Amino acid sequence: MQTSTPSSTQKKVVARSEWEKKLSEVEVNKRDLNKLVMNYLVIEGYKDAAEKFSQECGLQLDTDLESIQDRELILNAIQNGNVEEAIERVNDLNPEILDTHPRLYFHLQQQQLIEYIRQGKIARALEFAQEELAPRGEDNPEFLEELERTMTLLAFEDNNQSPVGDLLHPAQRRRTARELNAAILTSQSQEKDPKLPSLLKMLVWAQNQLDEKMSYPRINNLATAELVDNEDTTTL
Amino acid sequence: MNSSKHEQAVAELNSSDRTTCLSALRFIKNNVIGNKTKKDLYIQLNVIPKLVKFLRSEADTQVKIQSVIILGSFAYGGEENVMDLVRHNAIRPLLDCISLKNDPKLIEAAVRALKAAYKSPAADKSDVFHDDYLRDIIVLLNLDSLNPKTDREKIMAIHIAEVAATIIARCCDTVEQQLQIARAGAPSALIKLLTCGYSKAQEAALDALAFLCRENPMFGKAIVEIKTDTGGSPVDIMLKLIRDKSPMMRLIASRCLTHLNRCKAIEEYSDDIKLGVLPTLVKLLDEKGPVQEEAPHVLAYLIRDNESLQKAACDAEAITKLAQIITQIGNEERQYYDSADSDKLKENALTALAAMSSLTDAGRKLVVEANIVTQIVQAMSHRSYGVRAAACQCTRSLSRSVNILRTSLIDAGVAGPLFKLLSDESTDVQTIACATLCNMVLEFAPMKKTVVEMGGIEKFVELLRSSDNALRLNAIWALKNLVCSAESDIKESVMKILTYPTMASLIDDPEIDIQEQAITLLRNLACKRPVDIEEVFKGLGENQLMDIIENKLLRYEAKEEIIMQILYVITNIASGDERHKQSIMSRSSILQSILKYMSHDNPEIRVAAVWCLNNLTHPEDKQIIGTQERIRRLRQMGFEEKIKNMAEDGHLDVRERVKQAMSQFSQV
Amino acid sequence: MSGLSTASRIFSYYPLSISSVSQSNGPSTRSYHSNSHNSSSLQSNLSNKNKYSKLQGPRLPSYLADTTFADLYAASSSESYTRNGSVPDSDQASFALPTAWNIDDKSTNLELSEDRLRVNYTGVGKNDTDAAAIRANYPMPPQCGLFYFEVDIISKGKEGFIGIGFCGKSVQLNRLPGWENMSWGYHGDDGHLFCCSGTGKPYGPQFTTGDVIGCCVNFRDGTAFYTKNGAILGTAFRDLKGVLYPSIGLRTPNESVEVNFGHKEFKFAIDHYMKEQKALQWQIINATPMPPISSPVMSTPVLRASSEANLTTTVHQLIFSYLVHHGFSETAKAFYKDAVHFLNIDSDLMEDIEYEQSAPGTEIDMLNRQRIRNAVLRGDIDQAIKLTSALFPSVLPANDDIHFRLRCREFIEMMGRCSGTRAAATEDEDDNLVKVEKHGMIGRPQMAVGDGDEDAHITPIRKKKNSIKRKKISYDADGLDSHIESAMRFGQKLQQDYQDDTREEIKSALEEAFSLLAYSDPANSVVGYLLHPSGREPVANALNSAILASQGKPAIPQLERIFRQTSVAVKELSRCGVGTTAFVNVNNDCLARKNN
Repeated sequence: MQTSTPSSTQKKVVARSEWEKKLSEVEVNKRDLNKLVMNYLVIEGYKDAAEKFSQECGLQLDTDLESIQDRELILNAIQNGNVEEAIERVNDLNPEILDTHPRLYFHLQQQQLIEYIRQGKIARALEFAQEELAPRGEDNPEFLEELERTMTLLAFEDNNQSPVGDLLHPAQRRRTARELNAAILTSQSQEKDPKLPSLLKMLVWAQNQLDEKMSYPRINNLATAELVDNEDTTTL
Repeated sequence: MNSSKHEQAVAELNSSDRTTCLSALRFIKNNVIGNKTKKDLYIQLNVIPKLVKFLRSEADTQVKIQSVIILGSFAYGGEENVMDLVRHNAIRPLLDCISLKNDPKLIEAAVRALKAAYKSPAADKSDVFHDDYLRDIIVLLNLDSLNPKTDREKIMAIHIAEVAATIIARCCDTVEQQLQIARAGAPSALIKLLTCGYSKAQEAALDALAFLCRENPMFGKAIVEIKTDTGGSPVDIMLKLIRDKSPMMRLIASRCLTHLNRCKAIEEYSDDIKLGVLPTLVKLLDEKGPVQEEAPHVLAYLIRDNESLQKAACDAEAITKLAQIITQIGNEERQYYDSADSDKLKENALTALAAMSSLTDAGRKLVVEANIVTQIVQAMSHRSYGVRAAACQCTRSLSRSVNILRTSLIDAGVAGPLFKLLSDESTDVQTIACATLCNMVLEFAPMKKTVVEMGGIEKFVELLRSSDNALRLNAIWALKNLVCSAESDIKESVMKILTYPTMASLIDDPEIDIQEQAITLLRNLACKRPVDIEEVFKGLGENQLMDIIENKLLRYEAKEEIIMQILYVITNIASGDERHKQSIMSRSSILQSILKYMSHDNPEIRVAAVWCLNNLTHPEDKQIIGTQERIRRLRQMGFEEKIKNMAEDGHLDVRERVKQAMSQFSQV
Repeated sequence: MSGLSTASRIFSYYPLSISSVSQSNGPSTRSYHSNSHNSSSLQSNLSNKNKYSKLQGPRLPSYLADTTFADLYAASSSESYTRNGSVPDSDQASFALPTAWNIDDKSTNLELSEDRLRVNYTGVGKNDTDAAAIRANYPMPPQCGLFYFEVDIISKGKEGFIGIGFCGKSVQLNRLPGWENMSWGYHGDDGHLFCCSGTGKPYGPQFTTGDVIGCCVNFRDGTAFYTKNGAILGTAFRDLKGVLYPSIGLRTPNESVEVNFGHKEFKFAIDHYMKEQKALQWQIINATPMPPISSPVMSTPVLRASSEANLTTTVHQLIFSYLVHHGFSETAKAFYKDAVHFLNIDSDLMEDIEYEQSAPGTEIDMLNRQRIRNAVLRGDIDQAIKLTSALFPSVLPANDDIHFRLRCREFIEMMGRCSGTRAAATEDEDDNLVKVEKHGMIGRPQMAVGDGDEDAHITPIRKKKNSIKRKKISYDADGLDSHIESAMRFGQKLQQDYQDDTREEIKSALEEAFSLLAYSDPANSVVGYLLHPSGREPVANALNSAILASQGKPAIPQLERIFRQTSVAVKELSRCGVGTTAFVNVNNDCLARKNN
């Protein structure tokens, strides 16, 4: 940051009480928030939760539970590391998806490779890489790069030391699952992006922008949503 | 690859046990979907005939469904796989599955497989037009045909309709096919699907409508006139969809409107085309993947032959965007080893640039300013023939500006690569290269000499022996341009290689366009100096030359261009010395013909005919006696009277020439 | 004999020209041109192309609907437009938009029509010093994101030296736009751009009588572009800043132009351009990295996945806490099973949070709150009060206002029962429910805003209260239904307990409830809406929040706080004049209200 910040010291300061008054004036419709939650549950394929939520809060589902469940089973299979099952299920649901999304298919195969490595099935992993993944890499230099990165997993005994340890992180499974989910939803002419993450992104962006203009109570931890007084506001 | 388990799966298909058979099918299915290597493997294991047999038998529905899915997945593996399917007669059994009496799941799988197969030109689409298949497909466009009840069934019905529409889009190759599909009631069913609210189905409906009216004004009008359920025009729905949030939808809607516009079905929407469709297409150039790939192709088609749209595309900075695409692909090509992914995009981008610079110098200038002439020239040596052809087309557009030809194109070393394309393995590329060179060998173009030095004459003459008429036409055209206003030595070298007998036979070629060019060649040979005319007299022999002229003129019903070129051959000969003029005067049938053509409906022919007369009566000191003699003879034949009658001709050009003729007659 | 070889050359056509000649020779049919065009423009009106949003006060051009700016504009417009065209001082943000030319801010060589939209040149027009410019009545507020206006060239006059653009407040008005510092313009006579300088550079086509020239300033990236007859001409200026007024300049006799600041349809599809700009802005927002939710605890940095993983983890936590907060216990359990437990591996902190939230005590509390909530939603207020007193004994004594609302509701429910109104299930979703909810603020206790909302909503109907007298008649009558009787007793007790209460909201709530007695069939009376089950939910929410507050838990779920904070932050940004905010709208973009 710049050392001379005349502008930052002159920044407008909003006291906590004033800010809270503004917060209280926001019109919030609880039904909107319920819908926001429902939208997430449906799109991300949480069938049971969506069903229960529909009963408990009285919102009607605009998608049928069966089709949510179709996706949920597929996504859960990936979350549980069972890529083969996920592939079988998605092929049952719509055999076109994997034939028309080579990148997605590659990522599923890559996930399968990661799962073999995670399970310590090194011989199987090697065989799988040679048989299934190498031909994909020949088609596309990008795939080849990712394959190489995945194979690096085998080079480290302790995955915590590995520069590609992130591949073993559950977030990797989630990313694969999300890509698959989006492809299925798109094939059914349905919205693929839930709204709730946008709200969070919007908050992070807006606060970042607002920091340049004023000093105000901020939410730093999005999960606890606690208002944190800015230094300036506390000294007031 | 360890293929034993796959071999075992194929073997299990022979099992009489349904469960064993079904699980083998599922195993194969889950292996081949998405996996090109496995598709090839199973095709090698000869699984296709077994699957086709299941479809033909009274097998269990589940077995049929799985078999169809596998066949469909094979079709996704590309051209060769589709050829394998065709070879094993798999298409008809697939069509048999789409009848409404079957399980919807089987129908769904079958339409998918057919859609994938018909993507390839290898699949023979005529099957669709046999029996009741076409009707079966069109029935599926109606979402209620399958009587869906649950949400799942509804999703399936929509999906089936979508795929059926895509099949239709892929079966519109010929006017006859378009006609049959339209007769079977597809247009109204498609318009209904267009308003169903499901984006994928809407896209497919637009796609089918677009190809149903491609280059077919009758269907274009018919589609536009169908009323939608809400009573509006389908065009308004399409115009809304070019603003859709999905880029794919915007592209497909733009394409449909482009096709409607090209077949002149929506002329009253020209503002919407210019201010809506065109900018949408230009913006789609910023997208990625298939949308970016197809957008320049549609754009090129939209603006072809339309100066105003070309200008609008330039104003919307389309050339900058296309240049960026081409530069970026160029960089990638240098970095990676062979990657065919971007070939089609490059080809389409070059095609769009060629279209944008085809009619106006402003467009050409923008291409030069975008600094991509070198890349265009380099692309003429690209590994993909489509790219080579498009790059050549681009060069051709640019070469229409003599300035650019003299500077940027020459600087970029256009001659070598272009000349090489004359020997390209693709006839299309050869044809375009030949057409491009036509522009470059004209008198004012600086490349005449270079082309001759590189062996251009030999090459053009060689191409004249091709079996492709378009290529032959361009070759004779190039030779004609080469001798246009050329020095005698060039004319001589051309005729040494082409030979007069060959030219004479080309003048009687079965292709009328080739005849015309050959006659124009003759005209250009006989142009300018008496020595040149003398060469032609020597080459063909005076008698044969006069026979040619006489014969062509006698065919009053012949193509007007041919008559006109022949009249200019006479004009040119009559500009020669006394002997040349006399040889024309010696054929009264020719003179009669000239007189006759002075009354032709086409003013250009009248002008040409009067030109003949003017040259025959042109007063010059050396020929004073001959000229007077000719004037008397022509007056006798009624020329002077004819000329007087023409003094009030409706065309200025004709009147000008007539004025000259009258003054020449009056001197004697 | 010179003419001959020329003739011979003319006919050596290039191959392509031949084919194009034959193409263009086809007859062009333009028969029912006008008819069809009408129908198409009708359709485009329907397609919301140029409609105005239904806001009160001056109309807002349709491309600005759905923006954050639109919300602020609606709130501020009434105030700023009464200020009689005066220029607001630069410190204080004004949301006024240019709507006409400013008659007090023009060269004397110009005359203005009555509606202040058309400008005619009246000077001598001899040389550049005779140029004449005019500014709009308001500057373009940056927080509108985009400002677009179009100028009809009514007449190019003698020379058509017409300049269209924008400038600062202090720029001289005897010059064409663009010739001075802080002034930018596009000129019709040569098609050149002038950027704070007397020398122009080539830009677009010339323009003349009958053309429509548009000018758009984009405050998102500080650029401007022009349009001609609806076609976009490409970026004209960059790095724009400062307070800018739309401006035009004329220079020769009989020149005349008319501006369209959005009061009628534009030639150019600015709505669509706005949409595209919104998409670009969202690309930027979506690319913003998420802050780590638990930075000290995360031991191994997982670079590639971290931002995405944070987002999912945060979303799941927010949903879970939301479900717990409102006592949606079955949903919470299902969600925990299917979503949250996957997160356990993510970080230790997450586990802590979940253990705490799913600890046995918490779960029992949640179930109890759900029982109470369900009782209220069923209309069984008595049961709800009993349960609350038994399970959370400190809540009602400490929250007298909530206790009052409960008892009031109980009275209404009793009236409903004797009226035969069957309590419909809460899942019906008619307008009424939405309306009431919208006015009944969630989490009122902590925010301490008072009870004004619902009252305001109810007020218009209160004039009926003078008919209360009829109640006595039915009371005196014999054979009174036992339901009515107990309702009466309950009501009298309620009246008694609060008769000394001077709070206005208590008094009016009582009056309203008692007005039900005035009708023999209250359900179908003008106050029938009081009986609607949708009135239960705000009461249930208030009670739920009070219970949570009594346990030291946030009275407002985290998710809602996030929403409020986002909403305020974006509005504040807009107030600060940040142009990017026009391209986002928390309500439209971040809520799942419609399918879009």
